[in-house]
Amino acid sequence: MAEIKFNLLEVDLTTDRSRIVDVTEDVKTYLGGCGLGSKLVWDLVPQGTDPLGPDNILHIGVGPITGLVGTKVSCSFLSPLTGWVGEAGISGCIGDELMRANYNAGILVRGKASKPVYLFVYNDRVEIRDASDLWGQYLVKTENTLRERLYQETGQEFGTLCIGPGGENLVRFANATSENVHSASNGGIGAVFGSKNLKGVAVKGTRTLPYADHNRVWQLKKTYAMHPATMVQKVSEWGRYGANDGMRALLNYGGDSFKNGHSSWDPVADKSDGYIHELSYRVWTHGCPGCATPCFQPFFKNTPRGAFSGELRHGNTCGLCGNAMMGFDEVEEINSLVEELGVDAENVHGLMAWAMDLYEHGIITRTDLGGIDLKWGDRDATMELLKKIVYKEGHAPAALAEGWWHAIDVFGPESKWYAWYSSANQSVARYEPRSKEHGLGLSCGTGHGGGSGLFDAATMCMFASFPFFAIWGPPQEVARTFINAAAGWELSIEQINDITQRIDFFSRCLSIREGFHPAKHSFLPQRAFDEPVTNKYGTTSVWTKEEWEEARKNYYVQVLKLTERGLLPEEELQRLGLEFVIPVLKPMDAID
Amino acid sequence: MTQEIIKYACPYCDQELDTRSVLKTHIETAHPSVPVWGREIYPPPKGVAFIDADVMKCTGCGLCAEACSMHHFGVINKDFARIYVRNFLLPLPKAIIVTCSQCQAEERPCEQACPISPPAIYFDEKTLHMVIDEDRCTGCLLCRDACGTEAIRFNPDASDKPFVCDLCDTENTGERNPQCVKICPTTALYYHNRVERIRPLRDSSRKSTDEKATMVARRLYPLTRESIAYPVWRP
Repeated sequence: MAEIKFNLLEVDLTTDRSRIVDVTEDVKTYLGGCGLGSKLVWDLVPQGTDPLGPDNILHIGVGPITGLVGTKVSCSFLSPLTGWVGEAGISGCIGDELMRANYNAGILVRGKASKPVYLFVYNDRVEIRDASDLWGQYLVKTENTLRERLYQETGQEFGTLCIGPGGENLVRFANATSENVHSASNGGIGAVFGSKNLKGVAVKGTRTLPYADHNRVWQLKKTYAMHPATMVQKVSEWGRYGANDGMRALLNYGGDSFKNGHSSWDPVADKSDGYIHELSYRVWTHGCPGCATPCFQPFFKNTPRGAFSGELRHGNTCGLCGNAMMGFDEVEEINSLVEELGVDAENVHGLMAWAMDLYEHGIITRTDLGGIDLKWGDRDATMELLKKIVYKEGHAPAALAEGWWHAIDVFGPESKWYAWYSSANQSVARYEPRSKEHGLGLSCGTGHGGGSGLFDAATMCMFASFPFFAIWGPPQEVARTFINAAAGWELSIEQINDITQRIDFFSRCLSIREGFHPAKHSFLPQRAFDEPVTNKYGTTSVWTKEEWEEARKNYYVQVLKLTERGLLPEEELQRLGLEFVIPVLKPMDAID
Repeated sequence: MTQEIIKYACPYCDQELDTRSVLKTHIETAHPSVPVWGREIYPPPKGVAFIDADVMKCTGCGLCAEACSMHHFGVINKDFARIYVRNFLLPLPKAIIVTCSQCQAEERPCEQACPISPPAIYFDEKTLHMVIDEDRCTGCLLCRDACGTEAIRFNPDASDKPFVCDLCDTENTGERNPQCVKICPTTALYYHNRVERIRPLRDSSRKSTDEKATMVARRLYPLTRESIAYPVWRP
């Protein structure tokens, strides 16, 4: 069976040049998405580069099986939020268009444009076009204008990935969105776009998908699309309120957090039940290309203040619901504005809930907030604060726009106890780290911002993949089945396991190279240890230092396959072909 | 955490199984030749029939287009398909399906537009679907321009003649077996005959996708924020 080639479209915004690079060997070693992306960052971005400078790169990555197990794009870059590895995932049509244009290793953007531009990719035509009339616009208008214009020009519906004012203003947790409802939000990717004067990317492909054996791939797709396991997933709550599905179980057993994490149950929880979104606000269900279990639930809310549209799903984007004592009625409107302005909902929700806590305790004042009376649950005050954060107006909002670490420095040591954030400078949002049954305290206490390994490298959508597990087995087996059919390779399960391990380790290596170290940076907020919380049914949770360190040690060794101190095992690095990192990381005491 | 005990009910008999994999094995062994889940709820019609679409159920997965291109051209390419979706931003994303309505005699603009006599594109009364006779077709594409539904497609990478939905009867023997209907995961596509529809003419399904998108956009009216609804909504 013929093997296919993997083409990376490299675009240099400084020199206005583009070229196609054959990266097949790298894809065989690291797969695509964040696997290839971390390799590109390691090779092309020198240690210590400013993530907001012109030498940072932006890899909009797809992999061998993008579109087959859901459609995910995994973007890699040096993160402005942490300075470590940055990985942001986004679903929707952009992945499909990249595959159909046959850039099946993605797009690599380098350099910086001298004025606002957008990237136009239509099969072989690659153009860097002027975007001065789009710069400064909110996202709905930007995307609609761009798509309408390109439709008039080419008769085709383009897939677009654009930033809003958040990215333009270099807010450290800005995002990039697509189709008004999908967003790449982690790590401050929007700020990387903004620092390159790149307003957005528009892609259209009309070619046959790059597969080695279409018949074999089609048999797999048919089996998946017509399988009872897929239907079970689709007609369950998944098809009605999407990824909001899991929140209720988490909620009732203490996995959710309220009032900036001060409690793990509050009656206000009933105001953010999935039913409210499904019955009052959802307009229809939308899905990604190739996915038979669509889960996007766009909403529309018409009020005397104006009309709000957008999408609302799962714990990450409704942190305000519990943490700021609000329900969906308010959060639908706030999230509509969050999507328009282009910032990571998870982070901004957490930061605003923290600001409410600090305001209540007098650590920041009304003057600091630019005159806002920031009370718990106050929708209008929150909207105002949100705008100020995105435009960095006022002492407190400008500090918040730089992320948790910087804001804590600005507000002083008193503010740190109230801060509810993870080791990757990310808001904990709705996932309660003290709830030991859910194990949430471990990933949020040891993470460095990297992607989800195999899922973000193959690329596979974690949500879409549940029926695949029922039909074919664990994630590695699913990945192997589809990759062998699509790419024409003959990978064994051991090889897939090795690739997965390599990707996970390598992403960590990159972060360590840029200054992350488990001894310095792994932590849980102090409140996880000294503030017990009680769930709806009366169970109290809190960590003791010993318990957490023991659990973390097990997590390092058994789940992450690191050493007990969270360092990288030297023999494994050698075995996986990563020996080139050893001379760089050994002096940092990161290898055992 | 206490886990709810979930049983997996077999869709074809009364049994309840413990896990998804056991369910799968049960279906393969106890019901080896069952109809596809949720789609073939009645036998395919024998008489004149066409594919209709519930636009609001469509989620834009494009599996219909991929099934069509696989069946007719042996590759996966949505632009080689006779059924397809167009994605609009209204501003919320919505997919609108385009299907050939297998129009009745009074209203076949494609047949009427064909300059060849007899028309190279015609409804075959024996096999009961649209056919393009590639030997006589000159590729002028007047049929494509005349079709209000945009159901006739032309793609030089696939073929030098236009193509239209033939209900998957590629050899024109009368064996109609639309693959797109079988694979649609949301059951937005259905295949039924004229007798089952109260209105015999295809007026409602023969609108252009722009018109259909405009109608869906009305659910989002008025958008008083600064945004453009595409296509532009006019009262």
